[in-house]
Order: sequence, then structure tokens, then C-alpha cells
Amino acid sequence: MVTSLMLISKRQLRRSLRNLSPAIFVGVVLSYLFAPVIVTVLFSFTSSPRLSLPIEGFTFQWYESAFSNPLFVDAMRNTLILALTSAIIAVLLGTSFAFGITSIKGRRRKIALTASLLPAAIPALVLGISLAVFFSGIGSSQGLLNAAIGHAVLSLPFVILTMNARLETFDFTTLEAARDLGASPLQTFRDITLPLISTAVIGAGLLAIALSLDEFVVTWFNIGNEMTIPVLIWGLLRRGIDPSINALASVVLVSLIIIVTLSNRLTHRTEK
Amino acid sequence: MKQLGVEITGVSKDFGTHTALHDINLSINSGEFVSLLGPSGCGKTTLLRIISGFEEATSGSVQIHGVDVTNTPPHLRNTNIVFQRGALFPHMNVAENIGYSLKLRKLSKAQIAVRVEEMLVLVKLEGLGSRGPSELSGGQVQRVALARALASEPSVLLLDEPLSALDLKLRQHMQLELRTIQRQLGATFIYVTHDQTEALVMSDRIAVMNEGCIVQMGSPREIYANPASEFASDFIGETNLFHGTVAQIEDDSIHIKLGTGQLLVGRGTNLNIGQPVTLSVRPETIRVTAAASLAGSISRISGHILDVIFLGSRTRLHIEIGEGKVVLADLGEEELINLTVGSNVELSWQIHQAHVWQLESGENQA
Amino acid sequence: MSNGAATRRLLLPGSSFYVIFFVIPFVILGLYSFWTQIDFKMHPGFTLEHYQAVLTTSLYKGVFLRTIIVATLTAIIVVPIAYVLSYIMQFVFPRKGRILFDIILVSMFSGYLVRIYAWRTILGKEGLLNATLLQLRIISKPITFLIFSNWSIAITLVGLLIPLALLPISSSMANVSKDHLEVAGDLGSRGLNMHRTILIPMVLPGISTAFAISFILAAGDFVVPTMVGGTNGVMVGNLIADQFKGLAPNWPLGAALAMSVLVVLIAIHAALMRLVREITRW
Repeated sequence: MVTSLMLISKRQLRRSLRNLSPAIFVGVVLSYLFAPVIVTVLFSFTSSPRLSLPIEGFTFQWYESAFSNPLFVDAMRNTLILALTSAIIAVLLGTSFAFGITSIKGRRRKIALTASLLPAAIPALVLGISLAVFFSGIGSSQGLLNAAIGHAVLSLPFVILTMNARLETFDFTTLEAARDLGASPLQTFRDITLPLISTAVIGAGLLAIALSLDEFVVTWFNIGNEMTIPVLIWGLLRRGIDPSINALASVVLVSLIIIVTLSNRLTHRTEK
Repeated sequence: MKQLGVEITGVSKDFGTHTALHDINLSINSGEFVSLLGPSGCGKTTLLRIISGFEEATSGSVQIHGVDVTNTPPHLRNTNIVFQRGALFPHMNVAENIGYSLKLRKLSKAQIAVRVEEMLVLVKLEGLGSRGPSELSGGQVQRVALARALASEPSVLLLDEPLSALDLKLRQHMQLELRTIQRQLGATFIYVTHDQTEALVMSDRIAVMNEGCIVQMGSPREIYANPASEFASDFIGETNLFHGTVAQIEDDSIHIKLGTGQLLVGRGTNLNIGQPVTLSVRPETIRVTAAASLAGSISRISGHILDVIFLGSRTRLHIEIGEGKVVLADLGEEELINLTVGSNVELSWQIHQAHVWQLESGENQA
Repeated sequence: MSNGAATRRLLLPGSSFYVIFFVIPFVILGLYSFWTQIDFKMHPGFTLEHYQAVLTTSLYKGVFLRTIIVATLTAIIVVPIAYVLSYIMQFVFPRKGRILFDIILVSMFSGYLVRIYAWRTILGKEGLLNATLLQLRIISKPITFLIFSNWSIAITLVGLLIPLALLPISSSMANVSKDHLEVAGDLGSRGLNMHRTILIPMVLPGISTAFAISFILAAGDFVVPTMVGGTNGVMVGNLIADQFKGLAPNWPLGAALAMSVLVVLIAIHAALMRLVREITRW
């Protein structure tokens, strides 16, 4: 009896050891990926202007100086406008596209999906300059509208991906049932389709907002003299090391993490 | 006088790559339980969808209670479907699912509640109104689907293999329940299935379908006893099939010559001497006796018993009659005396119980 | 009423948007590479002068070379890490795999500019890494090669691209079930051999995509070289960006540079994939 107990724990010990190196690997990678985030947040509170350990004092001064930057208010307003506009466009276009894809089967469907993911696979630089060239060609001067369209193009692949995943588990016979029971196409959409996709739509929308909030490259080439928070941060960075950047950056970082985590929660809940 | 139920006239459906239905004509009486029975791909589901309005017929017309609905969209027809997997709305509970069609018709909340309760009682799900679809068992899902389809009192209820996902015992139970409910309501049910037992149990009449055509239409008894083609006889119940040529034609019988030279007798129409034909005779209609002659106008062939298999209510004999052809004959306890494996026997049957058709069965429409 | 045609029409708005604002601008960019610009005005026409400049200017050649080296280095580091991560998440810790995946994805969305800037503060001469190592007396002088060099660019890019490379690889790997690997083990293929002959070939499409994405995005980046590359860390992305936002913009030249880069990148990627396919054939 005792010997069998000892044997069991030996096996468990071996399994734990076998799981140790993968666990360490994952730990190292996670630290590597999140080191910049942690560093930024940490140093946004330090009262010493030098960026080294140990942290000497705890202060909110960098936050105050960041928010009192006169350019901040404008940048914030533009950022929010762009985020909402581009997210709405991306969600409308992407959701209808995902529904359309359900009518294609087999290889052609795979090709259509892969094609729709292209904007994520080419450097934002190329996208930015080609849009700049395009807009100048059609006479649309640089500004918020151009940037909004650029953001929508970038967000579309992710919206389509999210909605497509949701629709793969969607029971389309329920729509037939509704029509059979007397619902017009519009009523069917309102009573059945919409409630069943709403969480996925919001999740996709949040993702699009996050992408837009963080977007720098395409924006920079197309927004002209206007400013968004990333563009503002870029400007500050070019001028030199300024601790208030850490404060601004931390706000952005934390907001993004919250938004994306929320989005993940929502899109997973429907993927049962 | 039987009321007009569903009239299907000259309906065909061409999908471009293949034709699913060829010139279908069908009359279903009001209050009847009719099954569309056939193997997958025979067109039964397509026909159902045309009746419901989800498919458009390439030609022909559909009339329900005397009204031509050929071009009416599904939500304006007075038919409702019970789907194969229920298709319950996942975000509504049982009561809301059942009441949905009534909500669309703008009935008051009170009226809807009363009707929903009636339906719950009808399908024996009282008290389960606030459950969600994910909390229901397979049988309960189908009952809710049925209640939902019946709530608005449709002229015709269409059922698309609703029991195929349930296990055997539950299926058998639900078959009887459906039958009871249909009789209780006096409603017209059109039921699609590939399971012949199911069709036999529930239907007033069965339309046997194959490759886009109606092969035979009749009551279960008629179709079983007098199948109109090789396909019909083989698809419903079990049968022995013999292939041969017409040797002789009499007033009330046809003599067939098999490849082995043996002669069989049965009934058939529109046949000529020398024509290749199929003869069908069911296992339970074959009499087996030890080899000794019997007088009378009955057909007989000889063979020997290969195997004796006990099936509970009857015993099945596998009898070889020559050139590897094995005949199945079902006998009751009393008839088994002196018959064992290896015995030489003679087989006989009543002429009217053996049906003969030309080979490559022609389809008849009833 | 047939559902197919009506539903297919829903593809129209999205596809049109893509064509107008993604495909056409790209085509126009290609067109521009053959035009000329004089005094900030575009002159349509056909000239190969820009491509000539790309091929002959020695500065460009040096930058191209460095870009390819850095991008290849980055991709070669990123893809194996992403592969191992994906393997661990799916087969070693299957129950926690989903959560890990989400956490890693979150890192991808947690800011682009700011994370690059953070790496600067970590890797710099007076940065976090050096300060810590000095204080712990592991080194006596600050490490300088880690900042404003190819290494800093690569390190930063790797941190940005691992989550992105994870997506196609784990998607491919999801089609492989534990049963496949157990059968392989049963037949005698274990450990490294199993990976080389069984698993990697099965997820090759995902690996190929991951490599392509990492390679192309690394090569096309200009923010990272600007932030952590220093004055000598110029990559092709900087050259292109300069033609659009610099002091003396020359759009056709920028377009030609961009087109050339893409052609080179695709050619290299194709060649590398051939190589990998050969290696994994036994």
C-alpha cells in the first residue's frame, strides 16, 4: 500500500518535471512580450528622471504634465472620432461580408477568406503610402476622412475573421423557421439574426476600436496636419526622452489591454 | 365529402445540374396523414420545400385549400414546418419559441399566453415554458418544435424527418404521439421520411418516391400487398426477387422461366412473351413443405434448406433453389415440423401474392 | 425563394470597399513608380529612372542588404519560437492553451509605438537592462551593441511579431490531433525526429505563412529602425518613408522603392520555402 503511494507520486514528479521546461519557456516568452508594457507603466510613476532601478519615488506628475499638454485634447478628440467611425464602417462591411461568405462553399470560400485577410499581411507602410497616393490622385486632401478609411481597411480583416468564426456555428435553419412562421426578411433579421450575433458584433467592434486607437503608420501618411494620440506620441518621441511620454503611453496601453480583453471575452462566449 | 387539402399538379424542379422532381401530381385530403417515403436523393425533401415555399417549382402549381400558392413566399403561406433538428431559437425560452408566430400576428400577451399553455398541454410539456432550448432533451426539443409549428393553426403541417436524430425507443414513442395529436386536431400532416416502418405506422396514405417520381401512392396495406414496381416492393418490407423471362401468359397468371429453367407463376399486366421481368414474393407468403407434390393452381419450385434462423415471432429459412439463388421464407412454429438444415423442400405460394413487372421497373403513379 | 443569390450579394459592399481602397491604391502605387515628379507636381508617363536609381545607388544597395539580413534574422527567430509555443499550447498544456493564446494576443494589441519606445529604454546604454546588470555587478561596463544596432532592431521586431506569427501556425496545428502524434510515436518516431518528419510537414502551410508575414512586416517596418536603430540603423522602410514625409519628397521614387522591396521579399520567401520543404523530406 505504501509502496504504491510512493510510485504514484514518483510518476507525478516525473510529469511535473517534464512539464517544467515547457512552462519555463512559456514564462520566458511571456516576460519578453510584456516587458515593454510593464516597464512603461512602472516608469510612468517614478519621480526620478533617469530610467533605472531602483525606483526612487512615486508620483503622478508625469500624468499631470501629459494631460496638460495643449495638443492632448485635440489628439484625444480626433483619436476617438477615428476609432468610432472606422469601427462602425468596418463592422458594417465586415459583418455583411461574413454573411455573404456563408453562401460560398469549399475551396472558393477559403480563397475568399484568405484574400480578405491580405491587408494584415502587407506592411502598414505600403498601405499608408498607397492610400496617400490614391487620395491625392482623386483629390481628397489629407485629414480625418482619409485616415478613417485607412483604419477601416486595416480593421476589416479582423472583423471578418471574428464574424466568420461566429457564423460557422450559426444554425441557419432557425432563420428559415422564422420565415416559415410568418416573419418577413426584415423581422427575421431583427428578431433572430441580430440578437444571436450581437455579442460577436460588439466584440469585433471593440477590436476595431483598439486597432484604430493604436494605429500610427497609415495615419501618419494620411492625416496631414491633424493629430491623433499615436501621432502625438511620435512627435514627442522624436524630440527626445520625456518621462511624460510614459504616462501617456501607459494610459494608452492599459486602455488597449482592457478593450481587447473585453473583446476576447465576448467573442469567446458565443463560440460554445 | 372530402375537403380539398393540398393539390400538387405537374410540379417539376430542375436544379440545372440535375432534375430533382419530374411532373409530380399529388392530391392530399384535408385531415389526412400522408408520408413521402423514399431513399435519400429521391426528391421528397425538395417536394416538401416546394409545398412550404422555400423552393420554387420550375413548373407546375401548388394549391392549398383551393388557393393557388405557387408564387406565395413562405411567410405568407398557411403552412408550417417541423425541422429535422428542431431549429428552436436559442435565445428564446420554450414559451417564447411557441408564441413567436402569434407575436408576429400581433395577438395580445394574454391571448398568446393562453394559446402557449394549450400547446404545452398538447405536447405534454406543461410547466416547461421557461426552460431554454439548451436545457431540453432530444425528444423535448422536437415536441417544442411541433408545438411552435401548430400554435398558429396552419392549414397544413409539414414534417421533415423530425425523428431521425432520436434513438429507437423514443422514436417509436413519438411516432405514436404524432399520430394521436394529428387525429386529435384533425389536421393535415405531410411527413417526409426514409424509414419505411415509420411511414407504415403513422400514415393514412404513403407516396413512395424514387429518383424524382412518385412510384406508388396508397394506403400502407395496399402498398405492402400490391406493390406497383420492383422498387416499391423492395423498399417497403422484405421480399424475394427473381429475374427471368415471360414464358406463358394466361388469363389470370403469368409464367416466368428462370435462368435455371425453373418455372414460377405470378400476376402482372402489360407483358409480352420473351420480355425480361422481375417476380416478387414476400417471405411470409411462401409455403414450405417436405418434397412431395401438392395439387392445385399453385406455383412450386424445389430446393434444399441452407439455414434455419430463429427470429422470435417467426423462423426464417434460407432455401437454395439452384445456381446459388437463395430464397427467404418465414414460417410460424407449427409449420416447421420435419424441416431441418439439408432437407429437400418444395416452395409454393398463392398466385395473386406474387407480382411480376418488366425488368428495370417502370414507375406507376397512383 | 432561393437563399444563395441574395446572400451572395452581401459580399458586394465589403469587396467593393476592398477593391477601391486597397487594391486600386496598390495598383496606382505601382503606376506611380513609372512617373516623374517635378516641383511637387506629378507627371504621368513612363520612365525607368527610379528603378535604375534603386538598382545602381550604392546607399540603397547597402540598406537593402541590411534590411534583408535583419528581416531574415527576425523571421528565423520568430517562427521557431511561435512553433514551439503553439506546440506547447496545444499538446503540452491543452487545458490552459486557450488562455495562454488570448494573453499572447492581448500583447499584440497593447500598443505599437509605445512598446518600441519601451525597448529603447530597456536596451539603451543607460537603460534598464544595463542599469540592472551593472547594479548586480554582472558586468562592469554597459553593453552597447544592444542599442542602435541590427540587434536592437531584431529584438524589438521579434517581440512585436511573435503573436502575429502564432496565428497561422496554431491555426494549421489545430488540424493535427493528438492521435496523429501518438500513432507516430507508436511507429517509432519520437522527439526531434517526430517534429522534423511528422509535425512540421503537417503544419507547413502555417509555418510558411508565418514566415512570410514575419519576414515581410519586419522588412517593411520603419518605426523600429527610427526608434532603436540609430543613425546607422537605416532600413528600407526609412528610405521609403523619407520619400513621402521627408524634406524632399519624391513619390515616384518611393513607389519604385516599395515595389522593388516587395518583389525581392516575395522572391526570397519563395526560395526559403523550397529549402524548408527539402529539409523536411527525409
